[in-house]
Amino acid sequence: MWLLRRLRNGKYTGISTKLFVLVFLSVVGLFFVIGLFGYQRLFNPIKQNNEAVLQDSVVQVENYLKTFMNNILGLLLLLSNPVINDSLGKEDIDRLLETMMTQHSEEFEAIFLIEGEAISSSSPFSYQFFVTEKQVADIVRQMSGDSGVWWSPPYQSGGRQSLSVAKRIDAKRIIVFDLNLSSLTGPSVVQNKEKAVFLFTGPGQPIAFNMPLTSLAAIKEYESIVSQLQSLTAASQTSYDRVHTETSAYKVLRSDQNRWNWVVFSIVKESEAYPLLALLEQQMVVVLLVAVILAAFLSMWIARYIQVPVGAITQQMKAGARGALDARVSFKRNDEFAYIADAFNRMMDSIQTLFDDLRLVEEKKRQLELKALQSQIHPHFLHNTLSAIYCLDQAGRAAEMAEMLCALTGLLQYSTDKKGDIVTVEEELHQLEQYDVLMKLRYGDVFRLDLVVRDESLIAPIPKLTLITLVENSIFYGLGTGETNHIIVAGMAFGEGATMLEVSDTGPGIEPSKLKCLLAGVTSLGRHKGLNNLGLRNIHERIRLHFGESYGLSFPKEAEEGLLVCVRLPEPDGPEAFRIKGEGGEKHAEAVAGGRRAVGKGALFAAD
Amino acid sequence: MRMKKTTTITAVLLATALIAAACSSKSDGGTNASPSVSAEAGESPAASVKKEKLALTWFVNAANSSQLPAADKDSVKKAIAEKFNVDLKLLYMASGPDYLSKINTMIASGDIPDLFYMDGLESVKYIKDGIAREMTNLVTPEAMPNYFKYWITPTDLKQYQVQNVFKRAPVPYTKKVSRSYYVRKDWLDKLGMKMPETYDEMVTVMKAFTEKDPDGNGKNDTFGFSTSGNGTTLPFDFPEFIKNGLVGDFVLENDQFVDVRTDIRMQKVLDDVRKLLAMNVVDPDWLLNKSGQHIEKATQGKVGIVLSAGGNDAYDNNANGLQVKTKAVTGVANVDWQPFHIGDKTGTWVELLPSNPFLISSKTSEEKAKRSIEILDWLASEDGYLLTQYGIEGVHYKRNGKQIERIEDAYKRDVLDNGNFLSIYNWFANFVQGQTDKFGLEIIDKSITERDKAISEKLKTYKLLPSVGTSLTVKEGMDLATLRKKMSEYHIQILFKEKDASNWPQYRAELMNKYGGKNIFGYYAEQVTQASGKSIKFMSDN
Repeated sequence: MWLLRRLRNGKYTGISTKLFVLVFLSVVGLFFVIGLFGYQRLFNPIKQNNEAVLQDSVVQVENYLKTFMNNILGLLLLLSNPVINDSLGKEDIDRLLETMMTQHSEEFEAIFLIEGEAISSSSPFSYQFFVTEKQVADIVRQMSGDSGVWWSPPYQSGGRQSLSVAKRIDAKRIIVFDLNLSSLTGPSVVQNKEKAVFLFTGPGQPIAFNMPLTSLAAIKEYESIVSQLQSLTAASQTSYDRVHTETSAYKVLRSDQNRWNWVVFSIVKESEAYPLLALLEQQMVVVLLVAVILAAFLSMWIARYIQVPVGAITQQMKAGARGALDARVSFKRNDEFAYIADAFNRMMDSIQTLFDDLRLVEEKKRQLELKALQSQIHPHFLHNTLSAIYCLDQAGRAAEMAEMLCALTGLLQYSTDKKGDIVTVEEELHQLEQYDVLMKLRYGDVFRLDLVVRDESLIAPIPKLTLITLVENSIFYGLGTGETNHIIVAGMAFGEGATMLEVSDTGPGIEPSKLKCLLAGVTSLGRHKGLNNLGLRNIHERIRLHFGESYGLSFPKEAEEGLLVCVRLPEPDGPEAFRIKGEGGEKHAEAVAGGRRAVGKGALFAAD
Repeated sequence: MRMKKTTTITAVLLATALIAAACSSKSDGGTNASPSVSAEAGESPAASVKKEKLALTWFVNAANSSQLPAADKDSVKKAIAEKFNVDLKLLYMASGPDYLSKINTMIASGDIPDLFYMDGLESVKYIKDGIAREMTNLVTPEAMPNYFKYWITPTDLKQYQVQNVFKRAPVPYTKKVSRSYYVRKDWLDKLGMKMPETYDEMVTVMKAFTEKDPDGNGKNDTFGFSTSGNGTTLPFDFPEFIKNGLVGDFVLENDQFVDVRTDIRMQKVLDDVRKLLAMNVVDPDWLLNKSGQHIEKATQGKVGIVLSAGGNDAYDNNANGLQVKTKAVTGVANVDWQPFHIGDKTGTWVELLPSNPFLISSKTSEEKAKRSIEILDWLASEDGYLLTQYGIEGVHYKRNGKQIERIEDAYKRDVLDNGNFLSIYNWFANFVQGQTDKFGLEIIDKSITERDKAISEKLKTYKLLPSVGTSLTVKEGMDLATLRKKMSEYHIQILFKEKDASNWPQYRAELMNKYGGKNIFGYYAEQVTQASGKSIKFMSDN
């Protein structure tokens, strides 16, 4: 109950614990009830049977007592017949006594004849020397003037319980029997190991018993029983009682249905009288123990049966709550838990799909944004370029003007072409050359651009305007230093499954902190207006969007002066390069095919 | 085929029977002539001739608790049937009044067993009544080689005869008797005393045991010595007999027959017993104690010295012995009953005489009598002895050369739990149980402790005086019982009623003359004279 209350009141208790306690208590309780029921059913008949046995032995002893006493009376009347006594000589009487003694050697201690104040004859012969004068005087006194039978109270003589019965023969002679009271419970009377009979006088003096005293323990047991039975002698009626000693319990039946008011106790050792019950009690303990173990085992198994799936589901739910959308529960079972697990898994699937879709949408949106940026030609750039063209026209440098116009239109077309974002490095380099022409015409010799790209790298995919933006960046940062900014675009060898391009310059360089800002897209290109609004950050992001996280820009700190930007692109035949095909990279594919052809001719870009 | 063979055998047997009948009818008068004819036939190698199948009935002594098993489980019955072609019907009962009344009933109805066991004294009556058969040609060293080789000498046999006829023979018996006093050695140790060796030392110990609280219970409830007089007799247990040179019941001294209890020296014995009783060191109930009650008191730790004739009473391995019981009842762990005897050098008792004979019915046929004798001799042989004492070799005991070790489990299962039936077949060798040394065999018994062995060795050192050499019987008209009764009455009267034993010579004269002592013991002396060949006299005068 305490446990149940605790379970009810407790803040948190696992379902397995609750299940364990409930099953455990139920199973143990069930066993207990079955055991109790069985015990009750068996107990009563056995008890009744044993009570009947007790009753029998009491009746047996009582009957024996009656027969015994009647026999003695008969013998006494015979021997006290004065006619017989008178007709017999002393020797004849001696022989008669002796014969009688031989016949009743068990029941009698002795038979003797008192003549006057002394014993004249006794059987056994020597017995006369053991009867004190006081005893004789007592008997004579008791018999004075009485012709009836006198029974002495039981008395102890030489370790034996004895009793004298006397009857007067004539004025002078008295015949006396000394009875051996131990014979009253002798083996001829009661023969049963489990039972014992105790005989007490009415006032509680022990007379006889038949409990074997073969060991010290038995003697102590005997003493304990006798002292307790003595107190029971005073009881007024036939009744069942119990006597407890240190080692055993006894069932006692008391009876006093005899003319001497002696009390007969028949006792039965309960453990032996009810051997079946004792066995049952033992077995009950064993069964209960087994039941407890079984119950514990069963409860544990059931609790575990529930606890394991619940635990697994709980764990995965917690993981899901933390954001691990790949958390799933897998069971090999076919029950409600399987349904729960299945539902959970489907729910998690849905959530994940939702998240994926969301991310795709976001990506798309960003791509569109970038695309918009890339295709937005900066008006200032157009204005400045067109102003330069106008100057050329004013200066009559028509050839240069034509070249510039050609370069500008190529660049515009390149920027706003909607077909695809990804081109080959070769294509980009080609456009970079046009840009170089434009910028050279605008700014003159403030910078010098060299392109040194290996054939293998030419066919590598690259988002449009990447190199142009980087070179533009170098140009603008190099402006105003008064020195020629030497910008080199170099195509490095393949390494680690990637194509490496480097854009380096000899300009003033950019502080690392500022570079971070650039990459974060915080600042623009300063006061100079470039081709479009793509910045370093967008360039970087665009590469990563297209090719994955491992690609993009980086700024090694190798150069002592100037800026070095590395562009990491997928290698031409790598899976990332082909991934973009589906995303409008047809142009690139064509370019790749073209590039291969160019590489085959041993073309090398080198521009001033 | 079988039928034909059976017919042939029957014919031969019929012929033999006719001849035997003719022979016996011819020789009704002579006792010796007729048996010799068939005796010769019987002595021819028995095994070679297929014997006639006989049905024998024996009536023997066995404990009431013993019971024969079903025939198929009775290994001895099977062995006997196989060996002797006999269907042996064994009737058994504990010897005593019932035994006698049963055999008397059988005799009265004419259904006398072919062979029966009898009490020594009782047997005289059956011989006199002609119930027992002449054995002259039956019990011979030739017919019973084993019986004579191991157990009985021809002299024993001769001296055992009564009424000048050879009609009874003793079952194997032992002359040794292990009568010994036993003392509580642990009490001696507690009181710092040594084992008594003389009468005076013994009395000193009795006194100390009575007065010095040897069990340390703070109560004055122990006695030095006890015995059982059954209310009638002065037991031989009193050491005053030995003190006064009276050993055993009958002895020969200088060619004189001495009946110890009526001897003139009893005066001194009685005086000494009086002195001892006056010291109050003897259990005051000694005379009223019934048989065994003094031993019971000893087991209760109330008595420090008792006499016992059971050689293994102080053994650790005897569950019913004094030692084990005393431990159990008193709960004292160091109980140590040790044997001693003040007469260990001079004589503790006399050698035993054979007392229990087997008799053969005078109504049984010669064939049956011989066959019975053959079986008895087999029981006396190593084979029969081992089978009836230890069971089947390899099943109930292991034999390793000359060593025999009982297989307790099997023995318990097949013998003890099977009515202890071997003890019934053991009626013949009952008094010589465990005497395998006769066959040169040694018994290995792990339950016998070193202490037990030491006790056994000590008992073996006791001196026994030679017996009078022959069984003594009384003639018709002699009333030994009354003589003994009166004798005991005088003993007790002297001890309890009179001032001293000075009346003994007078009582003795009365016993000798009035109660026939002179005649009875004179007749005894005659029998000894006859058996020993020397002239033995009895002095009835004081």
